[in-house]
Amino acid sequence: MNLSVKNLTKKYGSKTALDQVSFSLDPGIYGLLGPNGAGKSTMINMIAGILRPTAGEILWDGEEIRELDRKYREILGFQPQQPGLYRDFRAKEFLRYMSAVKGLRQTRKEMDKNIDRVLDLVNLRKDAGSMIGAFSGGMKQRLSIAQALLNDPKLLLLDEPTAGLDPKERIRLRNTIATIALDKVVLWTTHIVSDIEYIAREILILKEGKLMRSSEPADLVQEMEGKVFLVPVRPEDVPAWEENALIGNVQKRERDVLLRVISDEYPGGENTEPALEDVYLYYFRERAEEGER
Amino acid sequence: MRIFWFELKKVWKNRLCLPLLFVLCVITVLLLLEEDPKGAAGRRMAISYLTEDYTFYASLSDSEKEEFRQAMVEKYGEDVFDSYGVPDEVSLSPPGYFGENQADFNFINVVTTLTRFQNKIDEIRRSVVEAAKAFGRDAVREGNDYEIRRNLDVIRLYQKARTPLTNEIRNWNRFLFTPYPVLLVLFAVFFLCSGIFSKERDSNAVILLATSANGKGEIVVAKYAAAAVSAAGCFILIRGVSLLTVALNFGLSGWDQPVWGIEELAYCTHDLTVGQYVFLAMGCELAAVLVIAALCTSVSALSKSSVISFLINALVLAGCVGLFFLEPREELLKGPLALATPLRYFESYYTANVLTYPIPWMPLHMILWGLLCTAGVFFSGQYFSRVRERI
Repeated sequence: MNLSVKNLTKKYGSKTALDQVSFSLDPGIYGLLGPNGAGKSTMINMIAGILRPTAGEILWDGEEIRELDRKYREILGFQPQQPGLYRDFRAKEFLRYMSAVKGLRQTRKEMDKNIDRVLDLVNLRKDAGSMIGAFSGGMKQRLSIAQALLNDPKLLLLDEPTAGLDPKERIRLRNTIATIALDKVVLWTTHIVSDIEYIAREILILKEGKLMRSSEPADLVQEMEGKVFLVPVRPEDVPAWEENALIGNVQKRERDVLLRVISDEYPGGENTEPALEDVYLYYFRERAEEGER
Repeated sequence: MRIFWFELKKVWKNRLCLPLLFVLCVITVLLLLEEDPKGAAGRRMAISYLTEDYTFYASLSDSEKEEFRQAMVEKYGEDVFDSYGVPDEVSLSPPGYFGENQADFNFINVVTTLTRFQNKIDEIRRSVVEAAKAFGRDAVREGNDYEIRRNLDVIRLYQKARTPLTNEIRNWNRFLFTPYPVLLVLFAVFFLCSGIFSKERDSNAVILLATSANGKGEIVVAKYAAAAVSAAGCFILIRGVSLLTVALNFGLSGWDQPVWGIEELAYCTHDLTVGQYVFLAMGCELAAVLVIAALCTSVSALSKSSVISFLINALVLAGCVGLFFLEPREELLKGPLALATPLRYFESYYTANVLTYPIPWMPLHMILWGLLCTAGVFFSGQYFSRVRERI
């Protein structure tokens, strides 16, 4: 099982949304990290086969996905960022429909068993009979993930899967995906670093349509050694620091404020252990405000 | 097949669907009901008496019928069967010619009706034979001429003996020639089919479909099948209600009578009963409804959003209805609703000239509209997948 992307480019008129991106993924979870507008959704939509690349190729086990066509869609599970769910359907009914659309050759009993399995995975079993129209945003998101898992996909594409989930569900989903990903290639796009920090085999950092880095989380963190500092400052100095330095955290203490500063040069204070969030901020310093941390 | 059932469910799960159909059925009943229930009961009773009269008269031998005619002429005058006269007290009061409880007036009306229809048929046959004579025998022999062969076909049909009327049939005009129920069906079809594809695009569900194994051809075919079955369902419901309304209001008398007895169908060259013609007419209407459903579904597949789909389909439907009522000279310009008129299309007098052969318009229209629908399905499949690449 291998997904290879070679020199993938997507242009919309004169605007380049994705520029010569290449990478190769073997089974495991891969985090595609980038701020809004970095090209994450464009890339995942091209890998899902719903956007045609301007140039480059996407290969599954060495074969172009367009040539594989139906065979590729049979091994694909896709959870889009804004899924269209049928509000007049019940959750189970919707999953039965998706099972039919996915061409799963199952008896009714097998189908229902499979549906119960995915509903359990996303913790929606007790809501199986409820109308989708009455679901909260988080429930819809979980149902969308459930449909992606119906065909036990070899390639699972998750586009911002934790958007709208509460912390408990977010952790639960993270653990679920980590468990089922043992024999799958999972590409998880997000701008929430904590979602993938501990489960990703590798993190791809995408910025303005270009792949900036592709490394294991530990390597990325290691590269930040000596660049993260804890600097105590007076409360009235905080705005000036925020203006001039890349601040990872602001912690109010009894007499002062402790800033987590990410910098190539020594800004004062003491050096501290870096985290993946610091990597994210370091790479996306200009656009950090757009991201949701 | 599974996808088809879900697509059908999607169409009918629209919250407005059932209330709309209910309203359309109520409108159908109101448009077809002429009288209050008491009046309808009276009318049904009158029709049942008429049926008895017709049946009794049909059971008489030719000599007995002739004796009755003579007796009526002697009693009420030469012009007694010429028109439906104002009944006088003598003709309305039993005893009459046929017994203690029978008034002459009822049987005079029966004979007047039958005579009028027979005269009409004789007149048609005469005019057709005269027209044929005008072509001349030589022309027929030389002929591979389309006009001549077409007329000979008509002559042959009119020379057949016609089944005589034995019952009152005029009630069926109301069912066959009131266009509103079909227009209401078309409105329901427009409502159900205009969003079949476009709603998937509006809700972004198209992404899920496009990335699924069966996402290409199967969904398109299932959606068209769901549109066709939904359209047929609306048709059966609304037209069924209209048939029931007419039957309950006026009874089923005349169901087994020859169709040429209905004035509008006097020129019909086929030996059909009213009942057969009713089903034939409904079949033709259903064909037209299915074509409209396929057009609405195709427009939905080719539109970027439901708003655009509904707007274009409203124009398409208005155009079809307009063309049908405006009756342009060119037959093919009459649009798909022309399919709903078997009177015209099964009439040998009225045929298309295809490679010098007279082909009735109905199969021709069916083939042409069928081809257009097939093209619609094909391009919907193509566009559906192309849209995915622009998402």
